[in-house]
Amino acid sequence: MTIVILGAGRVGFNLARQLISEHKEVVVIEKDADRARDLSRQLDCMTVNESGNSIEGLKKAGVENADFFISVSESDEINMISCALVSSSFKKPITIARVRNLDYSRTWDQSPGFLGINYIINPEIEVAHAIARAVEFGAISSVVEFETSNLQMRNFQIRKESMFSGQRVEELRKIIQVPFIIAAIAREEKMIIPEGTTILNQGDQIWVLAESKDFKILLKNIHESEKILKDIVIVGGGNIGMYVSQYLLANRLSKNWLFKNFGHKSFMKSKRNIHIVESDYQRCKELAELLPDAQITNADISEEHVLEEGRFQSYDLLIAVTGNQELNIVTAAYAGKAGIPHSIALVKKYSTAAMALNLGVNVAISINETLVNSIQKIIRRNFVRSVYNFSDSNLEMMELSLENRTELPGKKIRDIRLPGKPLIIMITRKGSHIIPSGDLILEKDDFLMIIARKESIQELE
Amino acid sequence: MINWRALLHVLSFIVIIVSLFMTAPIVVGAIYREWDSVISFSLTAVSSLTFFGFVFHKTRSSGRFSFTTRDGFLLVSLSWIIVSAVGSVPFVITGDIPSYTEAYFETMSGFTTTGASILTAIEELPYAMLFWRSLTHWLGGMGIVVLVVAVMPLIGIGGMPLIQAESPGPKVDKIVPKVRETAKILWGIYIGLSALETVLLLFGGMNLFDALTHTFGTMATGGFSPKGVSVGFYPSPYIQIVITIFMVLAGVNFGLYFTLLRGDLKTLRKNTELRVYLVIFFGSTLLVMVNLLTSGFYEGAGKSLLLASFQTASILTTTGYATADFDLWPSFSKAVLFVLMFIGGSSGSTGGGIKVVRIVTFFKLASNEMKYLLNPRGVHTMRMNGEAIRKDMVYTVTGFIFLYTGLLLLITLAVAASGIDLLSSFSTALVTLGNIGPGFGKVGPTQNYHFMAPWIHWLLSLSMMIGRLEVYTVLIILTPRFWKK
Repeated sequence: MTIVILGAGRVGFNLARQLISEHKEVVVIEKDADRARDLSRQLDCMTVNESGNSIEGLKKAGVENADFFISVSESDEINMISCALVSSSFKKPITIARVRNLDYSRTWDQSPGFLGINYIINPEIEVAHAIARAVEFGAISSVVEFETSNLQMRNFQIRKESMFSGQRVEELRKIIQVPFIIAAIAREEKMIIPEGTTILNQGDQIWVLAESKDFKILLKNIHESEKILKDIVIVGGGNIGMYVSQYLLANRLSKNWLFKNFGHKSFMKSKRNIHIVESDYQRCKELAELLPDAQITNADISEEHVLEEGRFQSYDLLIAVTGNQELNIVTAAYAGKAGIPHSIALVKKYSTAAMALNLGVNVAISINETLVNSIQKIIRRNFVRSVYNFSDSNLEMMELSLENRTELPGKKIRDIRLPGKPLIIMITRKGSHIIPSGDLILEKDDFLMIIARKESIQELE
Repeated sequence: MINWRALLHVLSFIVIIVSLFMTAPIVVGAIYREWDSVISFSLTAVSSLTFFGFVFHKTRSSGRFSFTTRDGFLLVSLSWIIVSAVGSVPFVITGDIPSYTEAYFETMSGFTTTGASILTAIEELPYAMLFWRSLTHWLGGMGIVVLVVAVMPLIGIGGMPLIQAESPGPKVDKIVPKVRETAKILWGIYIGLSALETVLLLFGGMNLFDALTHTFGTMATGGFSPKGVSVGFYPSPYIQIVITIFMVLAGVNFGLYFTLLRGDLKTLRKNTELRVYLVIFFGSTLLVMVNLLTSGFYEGAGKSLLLASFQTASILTTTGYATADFDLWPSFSKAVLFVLMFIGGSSGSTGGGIKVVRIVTFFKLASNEMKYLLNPRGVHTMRMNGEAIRKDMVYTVTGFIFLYTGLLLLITLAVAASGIDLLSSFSTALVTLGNIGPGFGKVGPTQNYHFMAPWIHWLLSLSMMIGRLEVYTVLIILTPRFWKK
């Protein structure tokens, strides 16, 4: 599959790296010559030093034969125009544009086929939506849902008091009555695919797959609980903070809902209390106008005693979404000390997210990861194969069909030997999803969801 | 830090590939019943496979390899040194070239596609040896490391610095997104053109052995011929014309053939280097031909054209085949060829020398300076292929030409120190660094390098390697800064 990316900024770079690791052919168009050269030094892709808003330049990158054209340059207008150019001149590529401006996104949402852009990705809305979803599930973990199933994957850090710490995986599965599977473990920056004999340690981050209704029981065992979070303080009143407030006030989880309803006054009383802390006075005035249901405070969070003075101790959750990722981490980490039980921090890179979790932040949402995953979801919707990336790590979750594999059906899962020792975490059989145990016998029409190391994926296929 | 484990792993893989190619001379030896040679090649191949197979096995690891630019320089330089060391062993075992120094010189001359030989009586060598000599040309022409990048799945992103370190020309352009695919396409085109030339030579009445060895020499712009009098052995104008055409083709950037296959004629037409290269070839041919005619050296315009075009192509592309002893030509023709020795083929071709693209860049730099002298406040840009040349590219080229000239003078000094006359010393330096082969004076097209002292042979082996790997790759590992942590 060939994918052309316009713009080698941070998102373009991460996206290209991700796609190349999945063995896709990537061509990057970048107008800055130095950045283009840097990219071609670091990644195995072709770089074209062009501005990307001319047919000539696009042709040079071979867009006419590409499967996707993804425009993620800094400018909304260039992204939209180049997607329009591509879809008006070439039939094949599916176009994706990164557009920040909400008015543009709404126009696209309301008039299908607008400028020939197939998908619009609004980074701020993507991130706000991810945060809102994490809040919905108790702000204790980030959540991955699988379309068409009621299974979820969430990640937790194992605390000292948790019964998971010091236990073998197979023992845990015997003790806890509901079916679940531990899909992956992050231990000291390394990702591990667990086996039955793996022992969990305090401080490990684990990804757990189970049915959404069973998480209550699981959470009790992990020593966490899924509380309804009513009183929420949001630090940073930028676009992301504003969108998060909107989602939380309306209690809506559909991403596109915001396109239609932004700025409309709601007549229903929200079940939540939202309190926004923003340092810029002018912005506070704007927010007060746009979000009448939220309480707005004009204060700089980096100054001392702001949290104490605002009597935020009784709040359930703090969400730090300023433009400064270091400030977000510090604020969210400090929230715990100030008596707020849950915290979410917005960070740029995935590696910073891991650092934030170690500092006691409950959930760290990374902008890059969210954006790259959203774009990949679109790619996958058209070519299903890989389902979820553990971002910077070398693990990947993917689907494997048993159609052409005569050697596997009829065997028990524990007897299967596949290259690279992947873990089977879910089986789709006749439309229903099963969390497998070692004794389960595979059938011919099964789809396996597996977690494997990236380097063994080619062999598996 | 240098990743020694990965480096040794890939290095041993490279030697293994080259050792596997020794099956070719073994087959040739078996056909011509040269059992000495068969034993010699088998012995070398088996011991090299055992040893490097062991190293390969010991150094393997689960992950993919990735190389930095620095690792690339070291790996490529080392692999050329070691591959030549292994490739020269069979000559010594049979005693066809009794001295290891001379065998190493001959092999390095083969792999670097120089074509300078120490052999005094070429036809006395067994067929297997002659075949191996020519095969080293063919392997070195498109590049051993490029071949390995194409076939070794373990090298991922790390392939680019390797190709960069080995390929001729100031910068390597990928023709498709993946390095591995790029390497495969380049080798594919190379094999395709070679097959075509072999078939055309067979039509001209050559036997298969001669057709193959001459193809290897032509496509790699090498110059080894199994005949003592080189291509001059074949009086047939057809054969000479075919070889002339393919020498010129081998001096073109191979990436352009891919553009041609894609039907992108516009990019081809816009390519400055290709245009200049062809102008130089046709212009020089014309000059030499007119000079040969007016001085009455040969009878008839046809013969003059045939010989002029062959010699011009041979020197310009740094092949080094000869159909005439150009050392006896009138001095103007000799001067034209002498100038061509400085130019060489195109970037991304199999040719050596300074490369047309660098000469063009330098010309543009000079003419730009003149524009500034005339109009100090003017703003001028240099253009190549219709696009502005980047400043750092000009710096790289300037540095390259300075180092190249500096090395030429140094090697001239060293060769002259052994008591060889000035013209021969200078042309020795020029034809080894430029991977050309025959020069003027004592190293003229009918002469050989046998008379030189052993230490000069070692020096020239180094000179050939520096020239083939485009100066920077080898010189950089000789700097202390390279080894600093």
